Amino acid sequence: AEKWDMATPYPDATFHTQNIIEFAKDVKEATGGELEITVHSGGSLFKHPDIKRSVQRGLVPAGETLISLLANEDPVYGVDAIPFLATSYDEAKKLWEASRPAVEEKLAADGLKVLYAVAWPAQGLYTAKPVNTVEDLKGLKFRAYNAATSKLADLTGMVGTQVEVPEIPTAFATGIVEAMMTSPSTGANSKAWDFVENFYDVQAWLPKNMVIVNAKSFDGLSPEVQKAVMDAAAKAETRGWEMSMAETDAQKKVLADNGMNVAAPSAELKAGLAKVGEQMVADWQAEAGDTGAAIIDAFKK
Amino acid sequence: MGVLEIGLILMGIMFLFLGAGLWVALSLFAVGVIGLEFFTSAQTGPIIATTAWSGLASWSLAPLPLFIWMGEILFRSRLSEDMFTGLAPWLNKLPGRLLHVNILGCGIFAAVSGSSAATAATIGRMSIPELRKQGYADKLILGTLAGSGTLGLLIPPSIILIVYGVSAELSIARLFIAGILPGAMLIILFMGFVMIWATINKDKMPPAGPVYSFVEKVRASGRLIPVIALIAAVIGSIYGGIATPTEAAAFGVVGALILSAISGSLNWASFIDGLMGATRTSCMIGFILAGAAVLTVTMGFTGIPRELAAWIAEMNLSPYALLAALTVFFIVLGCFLDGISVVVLTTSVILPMVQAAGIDLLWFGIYVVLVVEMSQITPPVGFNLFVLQGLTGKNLFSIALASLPFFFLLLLAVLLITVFPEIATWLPQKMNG
Amino acid sequence: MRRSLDYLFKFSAGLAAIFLVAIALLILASSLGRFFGIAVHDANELAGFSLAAGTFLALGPALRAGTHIRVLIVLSHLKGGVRRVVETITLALASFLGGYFAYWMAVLAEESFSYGDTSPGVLAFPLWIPQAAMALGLAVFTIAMLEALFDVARGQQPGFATRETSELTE
Ligand code: NA
Ligand code: NA
Repeated sequence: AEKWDMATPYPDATFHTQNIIEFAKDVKEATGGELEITVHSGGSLFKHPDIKRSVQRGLVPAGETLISLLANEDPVYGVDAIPFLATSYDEAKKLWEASRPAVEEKLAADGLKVLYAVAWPAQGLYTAKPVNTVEDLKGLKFRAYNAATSKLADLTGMVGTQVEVPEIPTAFATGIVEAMMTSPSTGANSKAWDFVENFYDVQAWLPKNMVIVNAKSFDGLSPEVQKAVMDAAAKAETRGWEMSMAETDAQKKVLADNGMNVAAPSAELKAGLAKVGEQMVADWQAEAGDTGAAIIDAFKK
Repeated sequence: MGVLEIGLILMGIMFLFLGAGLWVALSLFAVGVIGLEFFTSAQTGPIIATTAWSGLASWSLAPLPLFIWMGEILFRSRLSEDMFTGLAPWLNKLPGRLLHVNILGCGIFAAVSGSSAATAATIGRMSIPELRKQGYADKLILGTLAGSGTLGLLIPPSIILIVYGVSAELSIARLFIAGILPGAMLIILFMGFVMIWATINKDKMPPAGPVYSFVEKVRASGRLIPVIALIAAVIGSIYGGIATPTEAAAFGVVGALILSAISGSLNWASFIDGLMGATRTSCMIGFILAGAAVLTVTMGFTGIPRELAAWIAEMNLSPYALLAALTVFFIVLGCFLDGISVVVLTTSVILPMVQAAGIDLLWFGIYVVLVVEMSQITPPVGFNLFVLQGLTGKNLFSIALASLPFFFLLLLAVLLITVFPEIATWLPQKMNG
Repeated sequence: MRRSLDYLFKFSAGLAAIFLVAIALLILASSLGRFFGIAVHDANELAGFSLAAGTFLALGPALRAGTHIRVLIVLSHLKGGVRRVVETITLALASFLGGYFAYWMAVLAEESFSYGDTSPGVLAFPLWIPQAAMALGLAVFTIAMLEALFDVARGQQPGFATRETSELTE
């Protein structure tokens, strides 16, 4: 029987990790114990930025990573983090289908194989003060944590600032940060109502995590086991998206129940942000060339 | 071979290496390499390189060298001397006198620093020479420092509470608030111990200084102004919305440079001296952290901590028995791994069993910090011990012996929060409104 | 020979010190930049890289200065020839470990270079640079260890012995 170690970045309580634990169980059952996957969650084996390379180098056969974390490697990986391109689960799914071949090709060149991908709940806008138009965003200190969020800050006239996740509560409390974009689940898990008033469900983008395996390790499995893994992966993908949707509703409710102002964005704000989004899509397409154009075409179809 | 056997073999090898005088960082590293190479099928070389890289190239460690640098600058200025001269008249009547500076100094500094090693290093750099000069017993100087340094973990901000909060998906802010009262309780326990010790061992205490009038006391306090200004500036940079807690260390360095410039002790030679001293000390601690990270990843691959925790889970203990078993488990593991590694490696197994036993996760976070604090002062792998060995050149085990009373005080604190859980949960509940 | 080694360790220590100053400046820049509304990108990441590079570049000089700690309690009870044998074995093992670590760190830096790996932030800073600094630091550390091994094998005290500890005189 084969034993695989799997490196994942998020803690056990995160629904992505829960889904992976289920997936590992399914694989073990379907293969009659032929393949046993031990899930090392919370970055306990490799830190998030190292997971993809570690799977590529064969240090572990399998791992999970946020796709857009790889955006500096190739623009293709950044497509699901373009603000206001795909803003619902249906669109996110469509975007994944449109971009999957390009992502798979990119990964295959590195000796990697993608098993499945699951979206996070849509990114919402958390602000200390009420915001009704893009004008209101001007000058706010906005938490930027990668190239895309920095650009978003620039285009909306906000000041991008770097604050690491654990410091978000103090940063809001002391005014170091006045606005951020993150999912309702991250907000609920960090008890956002302790430090920030407003949540606008702008559904900016739905970033995805993907589960990848080393192609050599995968090819070393018997055809039956390979099939069992792929079946379990397909099941995990369906289950993961459902978990994500359930998560969105549940966590938005948690935010509201704890006294946060949970609101849809005003029409002006929505229109203003959409315009910013168009600019960012155009910039991304210029960067990603023909591959990028093909993805956007397939998505818009 | 079972994990228990592998664990015992690796433990034996570690003692062999340490005993042969192999450097601590290299011993950790070597045991990690041997574990990966002989007890797993993993690719040792690439794994240790990746681990050392990501273990050190981390934003969360940046305050450590900065605080050490701040301590070096202050040590070279008159500031530490001023601090003791200013405090001496006030502490004159309290049994234990200036030893309380170690405890209170660490307590205050803990409100700025999230790490135990940085707290012990910064306060120790200033206080050890002064306390030795005044004739206090080394045993108590080292013990109070090693013990109180661990307050850096409990009094917010705290790296370990952040790590735990992320794993358990708890509000970091609430965890921080939960740490305040237990932190105050520890300060009282430590000070109480020093008072009792000083009363019993009058002969081992330096002679009392002159008696001061109130006016003299106030006048002497004037010399505290620079220290208070520095602490206020660092804490103020956080609450004034200029710096995050991590960034505050950089303001501490600037503040220390300004103070030593004002006092006239800053020149090019002393600047370079302090900088090089800080570079070497941070290197020493950083190298041990890298070695510890390698050993930690080995533990992840061999699965030893996970299986031991699972073994405890299978026993289906009552909540109190479970806590007793976990305390033993954490203490043993904490002898060989640093506290954060213990948490990272075991939460997957431990949190569900703790939850199933009906234990409040917020309370458990404070419990975890207290047991992790113990791991900082237990040999052979205890970061506060390393820091103090670096500062004094005394051997690890004599420092560990000096810290032993404080280990038991931490154990007493665990007992107290178990019997009176409100010590940890009352403040956060008030916050809920 | 010793003269040129002195220069090597001085150079390595100087670089390490510059990285420590860089950490302070990066962090100050990021908080002051935010205060004045100027976006300073990736200061946190760069501070982490400086920390890794600086820590490892200081390894060799810190060994020479006797800063790295070890447990001498057993060694101090050994006398004459026995002590020399144990110390020689320990130093040989330490030199091997240093070289092994340096080799794999260099491999990591080389792979990062050939993959073109960068930091995930705005600057997309090449990872091989700080990783190569770490490998270099480990190489210098190994040289310092070999120097000590050479001294002990010839029946001399290693350079750091006098600075290392006061416990023998306690
Ligand atoms: Na603290
Ligand atoms: Na320990």
